[in-house]
Amino acid sequence: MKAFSSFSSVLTIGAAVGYLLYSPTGLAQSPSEQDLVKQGDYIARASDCMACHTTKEGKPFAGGLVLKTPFGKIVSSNITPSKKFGIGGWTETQFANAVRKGSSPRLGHLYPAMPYTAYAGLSDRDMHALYVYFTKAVEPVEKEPETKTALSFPYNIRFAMVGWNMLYASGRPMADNESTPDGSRRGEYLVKVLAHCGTCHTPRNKFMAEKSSDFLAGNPNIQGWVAPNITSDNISGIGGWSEEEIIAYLKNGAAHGKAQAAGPMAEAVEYSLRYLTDSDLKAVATYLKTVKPISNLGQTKANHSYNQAIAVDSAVFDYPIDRSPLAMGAGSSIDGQRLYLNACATCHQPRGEGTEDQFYPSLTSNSVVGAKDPRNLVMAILYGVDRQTNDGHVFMPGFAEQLSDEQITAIAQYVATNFGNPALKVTINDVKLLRNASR
Amino acid sequence: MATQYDADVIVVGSGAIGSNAAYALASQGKSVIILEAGEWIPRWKIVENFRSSARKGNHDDPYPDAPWAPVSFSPGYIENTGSFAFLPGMLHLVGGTTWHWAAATWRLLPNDMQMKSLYGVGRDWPVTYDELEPWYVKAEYALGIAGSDTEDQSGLNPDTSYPPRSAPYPVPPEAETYYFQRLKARIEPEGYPFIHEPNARTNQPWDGRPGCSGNNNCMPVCPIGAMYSGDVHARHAQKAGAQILTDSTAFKLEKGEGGKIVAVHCRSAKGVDRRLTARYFIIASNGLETPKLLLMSDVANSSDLVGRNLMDHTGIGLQFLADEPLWPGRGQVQQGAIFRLRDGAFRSQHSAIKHALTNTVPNRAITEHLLKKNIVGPELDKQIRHMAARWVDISTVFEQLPHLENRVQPSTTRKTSNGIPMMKIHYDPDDYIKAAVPIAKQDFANFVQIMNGTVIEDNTGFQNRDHIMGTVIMGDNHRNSVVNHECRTWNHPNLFMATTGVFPSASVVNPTLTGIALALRSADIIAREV
Amino acid sequence: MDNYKDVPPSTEKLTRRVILQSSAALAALLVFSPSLLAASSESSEFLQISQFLTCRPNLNPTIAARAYAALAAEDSGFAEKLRHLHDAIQQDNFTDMSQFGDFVTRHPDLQPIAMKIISAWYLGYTGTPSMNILQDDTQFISYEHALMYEPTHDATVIPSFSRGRTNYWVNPPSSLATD
Repeated sequence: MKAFSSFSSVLTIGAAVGYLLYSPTGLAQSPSEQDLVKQGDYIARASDCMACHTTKEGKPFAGGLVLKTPFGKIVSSNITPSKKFGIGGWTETQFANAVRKGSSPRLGHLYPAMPYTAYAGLSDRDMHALYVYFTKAVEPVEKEPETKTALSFPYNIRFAMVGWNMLYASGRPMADNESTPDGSRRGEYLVKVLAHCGTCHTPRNKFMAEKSSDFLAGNPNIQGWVAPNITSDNISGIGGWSEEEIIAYLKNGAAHGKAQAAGPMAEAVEYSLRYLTDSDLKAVATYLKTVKPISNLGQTKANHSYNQAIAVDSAVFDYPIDRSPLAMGAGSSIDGQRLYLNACATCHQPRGEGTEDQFYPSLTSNSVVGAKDPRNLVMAILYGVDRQTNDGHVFMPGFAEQLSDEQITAIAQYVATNFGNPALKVTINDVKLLRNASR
Repeated sequence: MATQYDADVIVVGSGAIGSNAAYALASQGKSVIILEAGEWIPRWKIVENFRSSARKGNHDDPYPDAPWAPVSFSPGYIENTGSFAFLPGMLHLVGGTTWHWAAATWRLLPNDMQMKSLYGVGRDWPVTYDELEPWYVKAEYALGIAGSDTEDQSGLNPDTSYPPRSAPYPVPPEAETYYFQRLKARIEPEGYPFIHEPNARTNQPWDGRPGCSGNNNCMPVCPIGAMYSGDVHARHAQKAGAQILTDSTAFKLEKGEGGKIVAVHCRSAKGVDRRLTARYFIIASNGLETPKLLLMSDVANSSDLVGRNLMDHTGIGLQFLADEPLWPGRGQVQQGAIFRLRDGAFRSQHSAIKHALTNTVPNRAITEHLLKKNIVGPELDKQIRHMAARWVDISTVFEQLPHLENRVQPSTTRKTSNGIPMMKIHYDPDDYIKAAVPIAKQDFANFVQIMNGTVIEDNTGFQNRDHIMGTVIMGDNHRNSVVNHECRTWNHPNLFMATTGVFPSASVVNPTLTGIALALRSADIIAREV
Repeated sequence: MDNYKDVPPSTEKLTRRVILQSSAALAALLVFSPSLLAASSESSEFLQISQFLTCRPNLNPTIAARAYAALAAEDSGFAEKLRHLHDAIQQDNFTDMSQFGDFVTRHPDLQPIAMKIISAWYLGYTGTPSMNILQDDTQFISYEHALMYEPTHDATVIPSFSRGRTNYWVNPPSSLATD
């Protein structure tokens, strides 16, 4: 971070050499411009711009990703430096207004699916680097995303966002404070602004705004997944995690004996968090440990603390079957134990302990299995886990196509009862709802 | 003339080859029906059937043996009249027999396809390697093949890449097992090239499949679906609009005017028949059921070659104990091959030889062996571990030549519960492979000597390798073959064969990838005509 | 084969429901009926002898009941032979399985039954399996509990179960130096 300390000179040189990048004579890029692009790239990754502004098969930052919200679908926009379709013609001030205030010269008021309430805190230095990065280093895409935003009234009126902004968008730029001795201010900046953890982990009020009093206390529905409480509460939050565990989780999506990242969190790890420097990861972990603890109503035991499989006669894992051809061809059993043993225990092992190296994680001591809410467990079974990490590509196949709703209900209940929270109850409606929600 | 058809194309058989052809057609907007004698069975159920089996070495055992859709090991389903019991493990369920293959996906060598002109034996293919090459690439990407881009798979020229390829393998090769590393380090310097075996067990996520983690159960069922099986493309075909009719055993192809096939008749378990019409028909029911269906229907057989020229990679095996712990059984059930004699002038005299390194967890074979010797008590546990660490298992294959008298026919005496003839096979291993046996056995002796080993078994006699070829043979005219270079029958312009049964020569490599490549090519031809 | 004639027509849902009910009932029978035998004295004697013959003090009683049922089913004289074996072990005060060779030299008629019991526990099946025909005299006892996998548990897998991450096999087991 020290490289960015001579801010004003960087700014001047950066502006002066901007045109050189595309000059036909192919003059070498100035080092400081390179530094700015590098810094901007890092900020873009830390802020995970790609998560929303790039589709799976699409070009980087060309937009088009559909975000489902309770009010309809919001489609992310093209933020490449295309003059016609992207941000190519924008001044730095216009760019900063879009990022910080949700105000676009082309579209008018942006919807708060764009986490500008978080980005409002972006420091001036990072904002400048981001601008340089997006205008100079990103490939322009001369195309509008095909799908269009479609919201229900009154949210379909972009102007309505003015009132919303007056109420909820009150952020001010923060100093990025990389030099605070304990790193905690840097951590706060990363958590609140760049990584915008609150966008998913802070509950929202009925107007889709984050409830600032419940910062990071969890959000029950992010595309079907629960974003859990990650306050420093020992029982409901991650107070019981060590800093090393938090860092391992952010970097590789797995803290053995605690939790694994799937769904949108897997994407956050894959596209953003694993690129953070070790010192930034440490700053995040340190800061998270200081976030005001908020306990979930009625919770008395941490989700990851269910560490024992219930005792059963091991002969039940090892049983004869009816070998008549009809029975051998019948795959519709709803016996959770049989389904678990043959669809899940191959990797997670019959007693749920996972493999010794935890490449296949334990289901005991697992926050998803120890939760009271069945949704993340059901979502993982339905859609699997898929995340690129610095430690390899982690992949669990989804079972939505192979197993019926009844079977997934039975497996989830078996897993919870035997390896996790006995209070976790799964109903077929949970499964049906989640299967449909993600369609 | 506005004829109504049930589909543009009907594919008989939902295995890897049929399903890939069906998907290729359906994804181009053609209406496709796939007929399958068996049912959809989810993976978890097959895993349960396996774990609770008392005969785990019997690879058909985890699959239902329904009286109306028997597996090939069903007692009496295949009657043998030759000197060798030809009994390949073949299944009836959506996805077909690739549920229990070991997923070796070699390409043929260009020379494998010119046996007659180069070596004066067997037959030439009416299609060249170069014509097939782009289809190999498509097949490899469909299946997510893990392979080495830097090896000479003929074993002849180390440090070159061969046969030629226009695209890299989609997935890098898996790490070499310690077992493979050690055998290679000691045996290869004595003139035996060790080559990585390209395979359809992806080792990184591919097309919804997880990477292999060495469950060592490719046969009889991959418990996690890392290994490709035909149900992957059956499902893809279904999503692309193809209709899969299960419990539908095709038993008759109906001829119409102008030599065209107009309909296929299929029958359910309950004996209910159905007639389905289409513009084109692809028969993809493996190398035994396909010719059986043609013979039952009296189609495509003006050459009298349907069902004849039956070939397998009939082989032999070796088990011995090495002088050092190698720990087979970690990783997949097989990993590489030893190719000293895959190709060369010797093929005018005798068959080529592939020695494949088997890497199965050997505890069952070892314990059966020790118990026969009445070894018990603490010594039994000690010996199991000692031998399990040192067990070397080599599976050797030869290339049988096509012979008219080696053939499959519908049974005239035995029928399934719904009245469809079972089959009769006559098969004799030929002199061409018998001439290679002493050479392979000398290799065995060399391996044992190099590894300072103790032989457990080096005289197995001929074994099945389940690679059925030649029965609807491909050729350059209607008198010497059943299908042309497009795999189109000479007699019926709208009837194609998608099976390894079209192979005119066997080579020594597993045939499924080539079968899929040929079928994708046929599907492309059909798509342009239909 | 006759029972397949009663299968209802292939409307998929109906078939599956019937299959489900019948298979659940049958599976329950197969799993639970042998455990009733566990209470019998032959069965507990069988467990005791099995523990001695396999040098395992803690064999699973449910699996023992299954093994007993399988062995008794294939040999109507099994209970009597088991009694003889039991008596001979007691009379000889035979306590060390490393001396099994001497014991069967004294009692050659008892070797087959002792070996059958040991085989059932080690292999997890009784009878002789066929490799390429679905017809033999085998009966399933266990898989995960088959003792033949215990000596190598730290190095290889019980096939179909995972051991760890992809490509773990590039390294030998950590025990290599002492193997």
